[in-house]
Amino acid sequence: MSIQVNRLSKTFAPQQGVVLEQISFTVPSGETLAVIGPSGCGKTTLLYILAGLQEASSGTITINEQAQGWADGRSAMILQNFGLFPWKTVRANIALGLKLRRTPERVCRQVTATLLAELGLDGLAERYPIQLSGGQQQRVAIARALATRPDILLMDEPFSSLDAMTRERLQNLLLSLWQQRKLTYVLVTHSVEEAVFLGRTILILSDRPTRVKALIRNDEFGLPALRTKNCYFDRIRQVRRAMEV
Amino acid sequence: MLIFSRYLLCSALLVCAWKAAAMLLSSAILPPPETALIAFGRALKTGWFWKHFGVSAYRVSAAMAVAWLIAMPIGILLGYYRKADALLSPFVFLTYPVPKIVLLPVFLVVFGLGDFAKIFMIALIIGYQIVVAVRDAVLGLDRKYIDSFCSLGGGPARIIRHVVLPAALPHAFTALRIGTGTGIAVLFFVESFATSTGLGFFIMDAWGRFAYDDMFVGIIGMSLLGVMLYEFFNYLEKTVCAWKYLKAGRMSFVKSENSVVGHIRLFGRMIKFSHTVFALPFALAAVVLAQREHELTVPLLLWILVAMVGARSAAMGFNRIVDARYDGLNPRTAQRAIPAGALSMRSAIVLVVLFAAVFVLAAAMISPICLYLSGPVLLVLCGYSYTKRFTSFSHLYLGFAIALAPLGAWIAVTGGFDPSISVLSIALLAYIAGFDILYACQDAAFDRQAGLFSIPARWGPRVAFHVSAGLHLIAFICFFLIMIFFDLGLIYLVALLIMGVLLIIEHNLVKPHDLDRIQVAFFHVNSAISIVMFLGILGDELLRRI
Repeated sequence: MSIQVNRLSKTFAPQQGVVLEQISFTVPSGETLAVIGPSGCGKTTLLYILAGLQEASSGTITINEQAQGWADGRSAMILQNFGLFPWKTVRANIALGLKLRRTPERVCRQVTATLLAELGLDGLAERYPIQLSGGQQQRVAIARALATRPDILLMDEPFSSLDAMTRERLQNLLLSLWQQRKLTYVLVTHSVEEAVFLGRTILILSDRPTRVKALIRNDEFGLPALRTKNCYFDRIRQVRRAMEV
Repeated sequence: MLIFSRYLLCSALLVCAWKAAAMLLSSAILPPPETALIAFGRALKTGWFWKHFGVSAYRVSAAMAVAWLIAMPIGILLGYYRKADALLSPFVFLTYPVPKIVLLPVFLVVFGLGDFAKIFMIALIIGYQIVVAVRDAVLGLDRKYIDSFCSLGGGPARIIRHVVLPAALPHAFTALRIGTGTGIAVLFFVESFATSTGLGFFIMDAWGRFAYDDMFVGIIGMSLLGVMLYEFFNYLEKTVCAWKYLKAGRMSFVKSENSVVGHIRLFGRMIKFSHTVFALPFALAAVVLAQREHELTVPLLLWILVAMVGARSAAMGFNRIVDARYDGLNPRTAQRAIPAGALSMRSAIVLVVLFAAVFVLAAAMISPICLYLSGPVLLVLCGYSYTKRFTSFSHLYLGFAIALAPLGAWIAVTGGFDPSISVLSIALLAYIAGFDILYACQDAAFDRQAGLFSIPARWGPRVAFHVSAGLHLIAFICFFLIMIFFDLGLIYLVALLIMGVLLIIEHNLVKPHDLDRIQVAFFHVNSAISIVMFLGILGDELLRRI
């Protein structure tokens, strides 16, 4: 599903001023967007508006050629720090989205079992989040977001709290999931490397009031063993330069 | 483990404190614990006790259930819906500090003298606490859980069930647990008049009849009711909110709970429980000698045994705790439970305190003089642990500490001191000190290195062997003197000769340069000497009676 955002603005209470100003971009169906910018610039707010957790002050969001407030129903979100429920087991956390859609219990079980296997979480189904490592928690969060078979995945710095090794492994995992499932995703990150590795398009936001500073096409996205290629580092340099302007 | 031993420990300490208070007060209003417990045991077999207990249990648990069912939703309502909070909170917080119990007369008039007014009163008081706890918990709910839930497509109706309720539950349980004490207190108050059933009535009625034992039956019953309720809520919370107790450290609670027996067995092995066989026969020998002119009852004998085991276990456990550092450094002892990590320091301390409490309790059960002496005795026993740090004569101190056993047993039976029994104590002192020196030969090198004191460490094994032989000669002379002082006959003489032979064997089993057989010398021969000595005295006594 494609996402089209047109002149989106968000103003909080008057004294806090404008957060997002006239943001426009397009993500074609099956493509990916990485959003990068200084901390506090409103990246998360943008994502929340796309998810329908907050309302835009003005501007439009068009999903699959249909104008609507947000990417409802067909989207799933992965929050910073995962947002897993500590009182639910891994299985219950993953199945929650399905349960909320009144999916039959049998289907819930099936989908959960498939996801557990796919994300390497076998044997952890009855554990509680606190009994998992950071990387495992993140995989549960991904599984939970994928359970409802969303067309659009929204991610808010999903790998920022993980160690470097785990982060790379999970970035690879996300990439392979994207290839298998034909996902459209928007990823908010503060890491240039992550943006270049995971975004077909890289959206660079300016400091407040937040505007689109640059929109860089990243043609090499998805190439095998990208991290070892020179074009990867060239692109990183390009993004860095664009950010420093 | 800890839960279980804490309860045991606290019960033992409580009973000790109670006993002491009863002795100090010596008034009928506070009967000693054994009297009250016996009365309570008898009451358990009667129908009337269970009737009152049942009525009280019904009132308090019904009240708490009602409080929970009503207060929980109100708390969530106030915490989650801003409008409801703005509207109702002032009312709640205005009435919260008002003591509701003063309205009891009004309730009794309005709702009648039946159970309803009582249950209502308790529920009202507990309910307030739950409302406040739940409201604060919901207000403090992390925003990310709400976002997370909404992003999964959850609406406001189901957020209560999936997010707000589970987050608030642990707090509500805590309020309920804390409320148990209040609930029981209010229960007592509402039952103390205008009713003829319930433990509260039972206590007041017994008081009126000057039946103080009965009064304490009621008091113990009410305390047990409180403990049961508290543990029930504790259990509920740990089952329903299992996730809350999975944090590091807390997790071990589940695992170790099942190994109470394992911990005690480990502790038993650590304190070499089997070595009780060295000193216990001496104490029993003293009992046999003491009962010639003083009455010995079966409970008294049992309490003496309990005191022996308690004191020895406490002292030995204390020794291992104090010496844990050295035990860990010494390859011979590094596998002991504490340095090996099999038994936690905390568990060991709990068990030591527990055994010390058992000892004091047993002493209190024997006689006041024993109770008064029990404290100093514990100090003397535990003091041994430190003697190795500054004197080479720590062996003698150990002998002295252990030699208190026959002395204590004598005082327990006769209530006084007799110089002749001190001969038995001196025999034990010399005998223990003698073989402790032999035993210390194993660690001579280590002790020297670690800066610990012992005769072998200071003067070498050869001197140590001579000192040990000298001490065992003194012990043998004392064993002989006992025969004269206590006018013992042929059987003891035979035993004496066997003991002499055994002592010679012991000293021939180990040589200064060859300590391999020290375990044999130590355990088998020593236990044989102790037991032969006791059998000699016992046999002589039996013969005398015939």
